[in-house]
Amino acid sequence: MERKAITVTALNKYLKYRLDNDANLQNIFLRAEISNFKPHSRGHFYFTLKDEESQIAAVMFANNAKSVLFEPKNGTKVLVEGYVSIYEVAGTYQLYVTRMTLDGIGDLYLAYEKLKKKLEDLGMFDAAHKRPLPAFPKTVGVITSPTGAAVRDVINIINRRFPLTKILIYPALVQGDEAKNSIVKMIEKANADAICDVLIVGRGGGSIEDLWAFNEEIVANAIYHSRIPIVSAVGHETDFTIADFVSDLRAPTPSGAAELVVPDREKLKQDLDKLKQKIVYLENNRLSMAHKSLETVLQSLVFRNPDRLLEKSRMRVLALSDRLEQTDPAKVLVKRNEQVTQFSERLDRGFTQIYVKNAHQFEIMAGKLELLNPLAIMKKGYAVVKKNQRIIRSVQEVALHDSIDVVLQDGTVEGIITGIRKEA
Amino acid sequence: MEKKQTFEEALKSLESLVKELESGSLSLEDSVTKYNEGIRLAKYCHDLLKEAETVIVKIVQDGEILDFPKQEE
Repeated sequence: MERKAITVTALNKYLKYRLDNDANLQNIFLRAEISNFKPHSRGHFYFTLKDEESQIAAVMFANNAKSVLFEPKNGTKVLVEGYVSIYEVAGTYQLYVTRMTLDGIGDLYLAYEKLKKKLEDLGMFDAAHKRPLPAFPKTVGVITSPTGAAVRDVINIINRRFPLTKILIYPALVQGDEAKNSIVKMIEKANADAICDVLIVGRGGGSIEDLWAFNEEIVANAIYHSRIPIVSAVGHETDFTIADFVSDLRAPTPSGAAELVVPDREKLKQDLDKLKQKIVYLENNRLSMAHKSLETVLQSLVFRNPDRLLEKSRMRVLALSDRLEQTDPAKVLVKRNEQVTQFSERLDRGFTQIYVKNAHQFEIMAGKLELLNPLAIMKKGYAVVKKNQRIIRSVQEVALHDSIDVVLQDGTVEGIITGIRKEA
Repeated sequence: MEKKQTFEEALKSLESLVKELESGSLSLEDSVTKYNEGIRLAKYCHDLLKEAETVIVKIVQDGEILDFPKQEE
């Protein structure tokens, strides 16, 4: 006998029929923790309800969701009422929640709060510890999954904003039990390599469990001790992790982190244009200032009426030239010539006087001399008697028979002494 | 010439140069020199931004730095 095959649709319809007619499944009261919470734009809630071991997809339609009094979050422990049914199109079963209330505080949330308090008390969130990011990082390190959306977002944004920066990816596991160790190892390696100027540590959105590695104490410590500034970028806008508090800067998302670590080149171009305009403006100012100074100088009295400036100088020149004239060599020479003439005249006069006086004296002297001239005396009849060429002045100088010469005015006569008479 | 200036270095030089020009204490000759240098730096920075095309992406793998394969959008 041939078996009759049924369709998938028929199967799902049957399953739905069975579930919908199970009284236990239609009136469920459940204690669970919210995870993967996604509010829909039309007001429906899509989420997962879970405990330590198991989970179930859940949906809460807008008409019921309106009545929820708290803001559902991942990790929130809740009490829900509802029913289980099958979504035939996808062949999935889920819990249709009609009512949801808070069930105290979730364990993970408690752990989070406890660690946050501890680290805060240790001063690990202090603003003083936070370092500024470099304005123009040469290399940005990204510690995340190399296959996730986060790394792609970071690359795209840096590429668009500031492609002068290099990106170095330190691949890390970002969810699961090994994630914390993997993240810590990469933070330490990045510090050891010391290539990057800034690090982005993070991952894309997910449930509180997915993001949990970023709430681990060892990750917080690694971030705190990193010498390279770290920007945390975990999940979505609303997710706050311990990593966010301890990092130097929290970015709402990985894309946001990329925008925080590099400048925007379009903005830089505008800034450069402004700087350039400023330079041109300043230099124009400087030039027109110099122009004005020149103008002022040219406009000044001196340049408009140079005579005024010269007047004083001219007077001074006159005074100086007067003084100069007095020492003019030509004039001095003339003066000296005059002096010489005067002197020579005086000299002449003096000389003539002396000469005349002396000439007169000379004549007197010559007259006197004339009187003394023996020849002149001899002209009067006097004679000179010499014996042996010597003039005889006394009778005692001769003896009888001595030969003597008698010198007359016109010659000599010779004689012999024949008698001596001595005057008494 | 000397080693190529990085964008940051060039921008810093440009900024300090603007400050000098702003101070108004430069001689006319110096201000003209600084002005020319400033215009050159502004153009240099602008060119760096304009000419930079694609960011270089590397990945650390097994202690080595390798090219990171381009991914689809």
